[in-house]
Amino acid sequence: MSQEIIADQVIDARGSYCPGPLMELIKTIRKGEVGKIYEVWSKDAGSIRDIPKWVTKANHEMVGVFEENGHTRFVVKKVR
Amino acid sequence: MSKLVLVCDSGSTEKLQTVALVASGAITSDYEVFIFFMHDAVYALKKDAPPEPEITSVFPEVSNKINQARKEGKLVHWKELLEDLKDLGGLRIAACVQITEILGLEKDDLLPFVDDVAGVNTLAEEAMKADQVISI
Repeated sequence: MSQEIIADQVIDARGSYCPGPLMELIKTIRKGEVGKIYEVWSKDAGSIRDIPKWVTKANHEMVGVFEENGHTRFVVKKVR
Repeated sequence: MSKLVLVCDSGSTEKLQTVALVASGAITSDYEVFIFFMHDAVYALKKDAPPEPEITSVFPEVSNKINQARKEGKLVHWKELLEDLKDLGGLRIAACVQITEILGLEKDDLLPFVDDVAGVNTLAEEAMKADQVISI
């Protein structure tokens, strides 16, 4: 999967501990439009498990998880 | 949908923070959650409650690091977390009627995310319908 995905909105949650990044993603997706791509940046180790799990459970699309310098990018498509 | 009941009977910052964190894990995993606040946890729900004390640990280093993270906004405050969780749905919050009355409070004196002022019979009913009950 290319890392060159252009997100419609980036949520920089690198300063937050669990469950901050996931909560920010949920709040943003709930207000967002179907078909849009959202990207969360997180340094929280729990996000690696929690964000993909929630995305799957919430029936959205986990486009990709990419390791960057010191943080992880979670790219999610709102599909419903 | 599976259901979790959380009982919080302490107004200490760390207990309140724990309740909100556990609730967030459950709500984001699609569980229904009922939180019952008792004793001085009810006082913490007052709209005009005084600033809460810092987290205290038997290990000073733990207190210092957690309180620093809170000051820097890296930890979501329990009130903010509960507000956000209410917005997601699946969360009901009740304050113990006995303590509410002893404190001379009414439901309108409590934070807006409090759904009910209820007795322990309500807690018992909710607990009997739940899959798990955790007392914090």
